[in-house]
Amino acid sequence: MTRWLIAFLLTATLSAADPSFRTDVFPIFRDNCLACHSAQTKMGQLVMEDYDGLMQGGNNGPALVAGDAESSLLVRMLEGRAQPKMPFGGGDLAAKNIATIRAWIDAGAKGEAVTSATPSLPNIAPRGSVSATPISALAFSPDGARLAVGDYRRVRLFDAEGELIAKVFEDHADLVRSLAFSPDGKLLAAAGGAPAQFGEVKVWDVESGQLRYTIKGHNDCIYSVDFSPDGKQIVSASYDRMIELWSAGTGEHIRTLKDHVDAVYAVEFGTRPGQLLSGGADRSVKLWNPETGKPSLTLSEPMAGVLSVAFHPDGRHIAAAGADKTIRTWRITNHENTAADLVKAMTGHEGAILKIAYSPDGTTIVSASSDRSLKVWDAVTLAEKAVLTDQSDWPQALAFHPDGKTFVVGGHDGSLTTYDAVSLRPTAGWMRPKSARNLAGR
Amino acid sequence: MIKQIFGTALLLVAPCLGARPASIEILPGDIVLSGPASSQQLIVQARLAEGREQDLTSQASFRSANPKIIKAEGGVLLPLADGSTKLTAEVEGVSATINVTVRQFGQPLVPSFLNDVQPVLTKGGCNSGACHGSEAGKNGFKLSLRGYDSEFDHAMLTRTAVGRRVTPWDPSKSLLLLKPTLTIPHGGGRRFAVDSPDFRIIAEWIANGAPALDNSDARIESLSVFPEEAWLTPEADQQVVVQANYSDGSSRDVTRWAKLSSTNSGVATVDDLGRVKMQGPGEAAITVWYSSKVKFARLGVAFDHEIDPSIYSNAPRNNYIDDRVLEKLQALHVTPSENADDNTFLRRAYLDAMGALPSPAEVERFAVDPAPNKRERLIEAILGREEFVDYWAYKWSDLLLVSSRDLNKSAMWSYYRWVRESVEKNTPWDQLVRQVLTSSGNSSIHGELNYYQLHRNTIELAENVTQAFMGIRITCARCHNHPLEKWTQNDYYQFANLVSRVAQKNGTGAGDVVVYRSPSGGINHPKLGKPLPPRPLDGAELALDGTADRRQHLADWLTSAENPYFARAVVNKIWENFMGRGIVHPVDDMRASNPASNEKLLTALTADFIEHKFDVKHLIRRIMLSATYQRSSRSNETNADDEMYYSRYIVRRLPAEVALDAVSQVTRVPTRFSGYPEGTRALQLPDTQVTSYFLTVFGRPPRINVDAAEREHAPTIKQALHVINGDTLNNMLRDQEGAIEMFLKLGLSNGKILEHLYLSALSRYPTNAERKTLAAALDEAEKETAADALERDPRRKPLEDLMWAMLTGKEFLFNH
Repeated sequence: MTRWLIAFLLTATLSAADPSFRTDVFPIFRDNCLACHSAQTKMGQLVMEDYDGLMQGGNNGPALVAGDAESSLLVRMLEGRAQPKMPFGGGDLAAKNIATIRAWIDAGAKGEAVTSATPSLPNIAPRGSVSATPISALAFSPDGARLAVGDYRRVRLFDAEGELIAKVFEDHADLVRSLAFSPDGKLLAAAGGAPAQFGEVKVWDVESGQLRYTIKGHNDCIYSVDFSPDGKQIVSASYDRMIELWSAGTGEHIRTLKDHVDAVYAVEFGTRPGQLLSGGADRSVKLWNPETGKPSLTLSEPMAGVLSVAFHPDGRHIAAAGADKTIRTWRITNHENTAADLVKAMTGHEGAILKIAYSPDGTTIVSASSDRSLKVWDAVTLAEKAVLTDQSDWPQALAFHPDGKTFVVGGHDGSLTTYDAVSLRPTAGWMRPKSARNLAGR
Repeated sequence: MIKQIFGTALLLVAPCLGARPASIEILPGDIVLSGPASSQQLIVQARLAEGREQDLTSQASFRSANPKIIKAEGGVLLPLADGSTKLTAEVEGVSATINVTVRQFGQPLVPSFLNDVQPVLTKGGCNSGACHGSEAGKNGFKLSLRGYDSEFDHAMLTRTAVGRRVTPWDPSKSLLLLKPTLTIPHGGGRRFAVDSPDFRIIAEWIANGAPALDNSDARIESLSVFPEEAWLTPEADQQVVVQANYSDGSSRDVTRWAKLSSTNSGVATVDDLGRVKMQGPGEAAITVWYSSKVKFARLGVAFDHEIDPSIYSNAPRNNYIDDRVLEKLQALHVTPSENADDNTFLRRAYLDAMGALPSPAEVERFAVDPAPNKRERLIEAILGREEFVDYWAYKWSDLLLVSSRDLNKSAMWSYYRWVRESVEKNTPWDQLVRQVLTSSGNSSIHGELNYYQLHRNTIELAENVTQAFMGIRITCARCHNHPLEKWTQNDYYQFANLVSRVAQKNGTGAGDVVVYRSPSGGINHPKLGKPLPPRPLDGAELALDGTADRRQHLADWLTSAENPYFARAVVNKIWENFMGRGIVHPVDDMRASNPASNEKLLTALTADFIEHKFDVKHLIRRIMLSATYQRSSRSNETNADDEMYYSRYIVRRLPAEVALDAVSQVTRVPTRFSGYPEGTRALQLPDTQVTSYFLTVFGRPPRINVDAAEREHAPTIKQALHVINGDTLNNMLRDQEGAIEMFLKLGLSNGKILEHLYLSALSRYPTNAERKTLAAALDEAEKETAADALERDPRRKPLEDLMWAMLTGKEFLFNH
């Protein structure tokens, strides 16, 4: 008798408490639905990451009718009464989970905010000597007086003495994966963000070290950033397949350039107005009209993902390289940037080519590869002019000094070296010898 | 009330089955635990009566001689401090003790990418073909299939896309932890939980800087599995433990990262942690795959039959085959069928060994032969017959793909003639294959060289050699390490390089080629972009720039007595010819994860074959002489379900060529094959391109690929329709010079005709009942036919009908 009573009480207690969105319902969505219905992926335009998104519904209309689980689209799709059945392409949702969702909707589908903080794991400290982070981005100021070095969550600015100047720009979300100075050298755009989560561009005032603004956009981290030649726009390219244009003055979003079907690793403005070049994992190189946001030309010669693109200073030639170990150059054959001929293709490395750059005078191309070598090529013939093997790790970042005499390479192991652009010998180059030591020592 | 107490008591006793084990053993024996994260699943294996075993781990109590060094929790041994001690397990007063050593307990955990991280990714399915292991990867992230290319995977995880996936300087930010724990959305769902052992391995590897492969990393050399073989009680639970053995001499428990599967889920099922549940009687192999190594445990439960042991001790034993088969049947509790009668044996022996029916005279002679060793003498006679040569030349022509499909007629003939001559001379199998592989010269003189003409492409040639002569498919390894076998891509290209220096040019005659040794050439490993030193699978490497004849090296290795695959493959094929099913089944699938149904039998046969210098006739004689071969196909109460342990002869349909020849033989009407002289039997055809609807419908192999499945064995509706309504049989019955015409011309009585037909088609006399019924039916039919003015001879049509009925019947079309 007593047992029955307890059982009854238990049931009563259970039914008395309606399921809560945050603690009961949302975890079901999180574990089963968010791979497709996150704010990033947004299949069917339905976002189930938070209460508002869910209530807003998607392409098929409202996901649910508060108080009426039976006729709610969400429940009908979960139960296979409406097509497509959800979870799409997966197994059935457990009956007890559907029951929870039904009970919550029937009780009025009340919502609370679910935690919007960046999801995290318990903190794990690096063991022992793990401290060097990759040099993930490099950029020279237009006057050649400063070198910006990006690594994990920060940018350091060095002067020609190799001394750290101004402040260290900090609080980036993750690795700073691309750096660009504004044409007047006053602003520094540092782009990155958290992989698989969001992209971020922090725009710094170089002189004062003040943060002008932070752009948070994209659904994945940014791999490449650049200023337009007039300094008015910033472009960013992300693993989320999108290229975004932003106002350099305010950080406001201007438009989305959408045509790549896989990660976009490289983006660069041309020297002439109205030229934008990109390359991505979809094995394509694209020229865009930044005014319309439409691609003007797609070049499909690469046999594997494109990791780096470069505009020749003349604005009429472009180069791209990537996982197919091959450098290709094209000549743009009209002023509308709608036609280009392949000039040369050279399989020049034994591993993926991570970065290429034209020398400022346009006579050579430098390439850095995962085969741990650097090479200098004649920009017209792609004849090999110099080679340096045995980099201590993958050369992840590359920047030519504006005077063209040297370039700097940043390694995955944190190494940072200046090379003579002709001989490929490590050199103090634009810096005085003492400075080179300072730099390497950091 | 009393009943209840009694019931409770029974319940309590049940787990131990009331019996005190005769002895127990701790598996896997003495243990060394290395490092702070090491552990070892223990098995307390009890020996019961009748050779049965039982996993009593859950009932055992464990005692450490030094509790400061180790502890055992829930059957898992864990280290506490460095040192050596003893561990004792006790069940029902029976105990066993092992030595345990703990090393490097105080050292930090630094997981190795190769030996720790890759197994986690593989077990988690991350690098499976459906996920990131697919050719295109998933969402830009690609891993090598099942982790065969660790260098590529390490670069992808730590370097590609600028260190996107692994963040050693801030480990908890790593996508490799965020995604599989579902901390952020992951299309592949949750692969492991935060703070699971798998999480800990990945996290510690990252936190230690995500170190790359190191030449000092111990390399896995082999797997051990415990228990390796056991007969268990019905519905038993059995833990299986997988141990990896490394190049530095160490071993460790990798059960939770191994891929386990059961070859027979009706007998046993296994979960991800190596827990086996026996489901029904019979034997199952639990196959284990870990880091490109394969091993299996063989677990069985006897059938629920009470069988008097004297049945086995009294069963006829003609040679070791019978010992091995009876041993297996006894363990399974299956009674063998009785000895087949003489007529059945005679028909079977003729059909199996030479593809022909005995003539009525031969049947009659054998029936009255009083000699006690008449079966033995019959076998000897068959081995000397011309039809024996036809049959085996046909069989080996299937294997060697003799056909005018890709060879011109004269080339096909020279190839066939060589095969037939080899059978006629009873060329030992190793020499025959050696000739195929090492000959040089003109193919019109050396017919075996057409093998090279058929396989001009190095890759195809290499795959054919392994498939045809060893029953091993290595094709998967062409593009990546074999996902379920031990063959790696390096193995593949090293092997292919053994046949990369064979050149051919056109000969002087039409269709012949000259095959010669080329001084240079090599096949490039696609990833390395260069040829690797030639090496047979598991064999010795040749220098890349050496001048030794690579084909010679291949042939030496292939045909050597030590080659574990070569003799075994052909022995299994020959066995299948007589027994209806390979000991390894299917016969051309000799991979390590496809175990033999009777390993000792196959091992013994192979040893015998090698000892007798690869003499095919010797092996055939041995098989045919065995009581196992001479058993009846009729099942008894215990063996109706047995299709793989040879407790009875397996009934099967006659092969296409044999069936057609048999029909011809009984109707005395030869089949006409276009381009071949009249009287050529189907089994004498050198070529499968010869048009014959009957042969095609009955599953004649096209000889395009070396694949046992090319020959279809299954009876089909098409076959039934063709023999019933098709013109092959009906034209033969109507033939004006056939058997019926002969009977009529000789004026034989219906009784005599009936007897002759039974002897020629079924190799036996009709029973009295058959004589009576059929004679009456014939008389009746003759009367009806006589009334029809259009019939030429009133006796003819009823006889055609009778013969039709016999030749479309199961007793005729099946070997039994």
